[in-house]
Amino acid sequence: MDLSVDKRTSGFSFGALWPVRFASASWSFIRRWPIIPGIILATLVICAIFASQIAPHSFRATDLRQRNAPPIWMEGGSSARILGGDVVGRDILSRLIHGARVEMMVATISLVGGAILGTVIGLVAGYYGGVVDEVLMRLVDIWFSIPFLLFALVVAIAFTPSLQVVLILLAILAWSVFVRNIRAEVLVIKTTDYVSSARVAGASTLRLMVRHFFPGIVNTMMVIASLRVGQLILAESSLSFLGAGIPAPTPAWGVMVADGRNYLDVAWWVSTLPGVAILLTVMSFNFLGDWLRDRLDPRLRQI
Amino acid sequence: MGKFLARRAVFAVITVFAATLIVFTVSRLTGDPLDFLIREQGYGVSEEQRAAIAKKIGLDRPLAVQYVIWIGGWMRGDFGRSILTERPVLDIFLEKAPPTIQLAAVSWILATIIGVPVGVVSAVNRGGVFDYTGRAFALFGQAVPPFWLGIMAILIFAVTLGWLPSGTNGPPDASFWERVRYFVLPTAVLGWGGSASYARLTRSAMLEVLDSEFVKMARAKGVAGGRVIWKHALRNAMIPPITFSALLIAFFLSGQVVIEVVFSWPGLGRLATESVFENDFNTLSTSVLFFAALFAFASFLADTLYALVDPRIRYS
Repeated sequence: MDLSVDKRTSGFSFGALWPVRFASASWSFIRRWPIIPGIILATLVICAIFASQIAPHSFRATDLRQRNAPPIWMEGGSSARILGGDVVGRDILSRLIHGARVEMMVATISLVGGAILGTVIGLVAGYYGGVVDEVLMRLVDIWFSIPFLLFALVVAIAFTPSLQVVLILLAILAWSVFVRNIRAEVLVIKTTDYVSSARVAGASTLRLMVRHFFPGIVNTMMVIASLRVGQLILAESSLSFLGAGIPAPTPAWGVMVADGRNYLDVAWWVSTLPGVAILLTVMSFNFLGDWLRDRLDPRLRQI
Repeated sequence: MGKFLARRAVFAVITVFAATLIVFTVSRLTGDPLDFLIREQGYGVSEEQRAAIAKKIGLDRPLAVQYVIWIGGWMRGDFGRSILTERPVLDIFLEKAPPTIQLAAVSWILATIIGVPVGVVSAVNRGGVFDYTGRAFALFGQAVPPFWLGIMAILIFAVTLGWLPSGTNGPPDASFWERVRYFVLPTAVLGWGGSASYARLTRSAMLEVLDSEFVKMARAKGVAGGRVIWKHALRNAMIPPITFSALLIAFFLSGQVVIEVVFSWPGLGRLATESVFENDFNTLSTSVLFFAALFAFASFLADTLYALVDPRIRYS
């Protein structure tokens, strides 16, 4: 038995079997670390930040000569429209790159907003208990029972759809899941000795929450956030697809899929490519979420 | 048991009322509801005409009174008229409900009979080829945007291969087998997401149960392998999937909005979307309330099933 070798790092040496070893080592590396999702998401973040610098063309400049132009690898494709042109000849690649910015805004602003709201309410409900807890938790239950997409449609009809409205809507979609789990966590922490000691020592409510409760729930918060973000992006793209989400000039991926719907027989790429982008993004986030959960808090498996 | 169910029932009713309050508030928050009724921002409508319309439909009363009137009508079965077609909303609903219910029911059955066994077999063969395939199936199902999957299905099976129709639920006089062809794509797309969630839930519940003492005991006693899995373990792992199944049917009835739009399905979801673009607030708010009531009923059903399956819930 070879006790001296760490199995994780022993896979690579230049013997006769080095291709096999290399393959198995890289496979275990990929299983251990979320490399591929990491690369995809890093690309997205870079695209989101430097969209105007990276994109080869403007995302809104139309060119009727490039109408439904095929991607570069297909017959008739040219480097003017690397991933093809859409129904009014706009560059799909540039629109995808600018669309990354929209999705990243959804992922960050709505998620952070929802996480803060949900965490604060969960903390308050768990900490005070009694009537406060009952009222807040019933509110969460009620919120769960309203079908989100339809609620969003009501809002869309009442307010003019805009990026801000969509971001707020998604934030209030996100908060309720946080409340339930964080409240449960707070109920456990409440019974620990260190909280009682802090209380005896005269810590204020605010201090208790910030210094004693919050560090205990931050892992849960991170895990839920990473597991929810994919759903938020799916919800946003569904709304945008229906035309009740982010309005036209902004290149949201859901809108792009809807744009190409009526041209499936002549230009399949117009709908297909943005959908692939959504799929890869959501899959990467879900992968990362699962990985983070297994690392930080395997008890949350049921979510 | 009775007390538990009574509490949940009362709560379901409260939920629906809260939903009506939310819809009402949103509709009034945004200013004058007359703007929905009078197109073109009221161009060409004098102040007197505006006031007369407001009086006719009770908009000059205090908000609380308006809410009570609205709820009162709703409870008597008067859902108002569609602003667009002037037809009673209830009539439109009765016409659009059957296609939606059919689509939801078939997708639900499909999702259940695929998702649960996939989860069980994945858990039993943990780490095996089937487990990886099953998990890939679930991962894809949870990450794919349903509207895009629908469009891809149309692109491949309707546009390119020409095997199946691309939309609607078929002509009214279609025979049974003819109609089945129209159901294949929408139910497959809708069912995939559902079965993905089933598979994940069942897999993790099964893994937990398979690891428990009583399963080891049954194995040690010499109970046949298949019997241990399908009888001893599955029955105890069924709680999460059962709860989920009640919510899933409610979700299919409302969450299929996008699928109905993609497949031009003449159901409630498409009705709701169309009413958005026509500013038809009566139709839309009734849809939301209908679906909220449905959700409340489904969660009540889930709680009941839960209590039936797991005696511990009843007494807590």
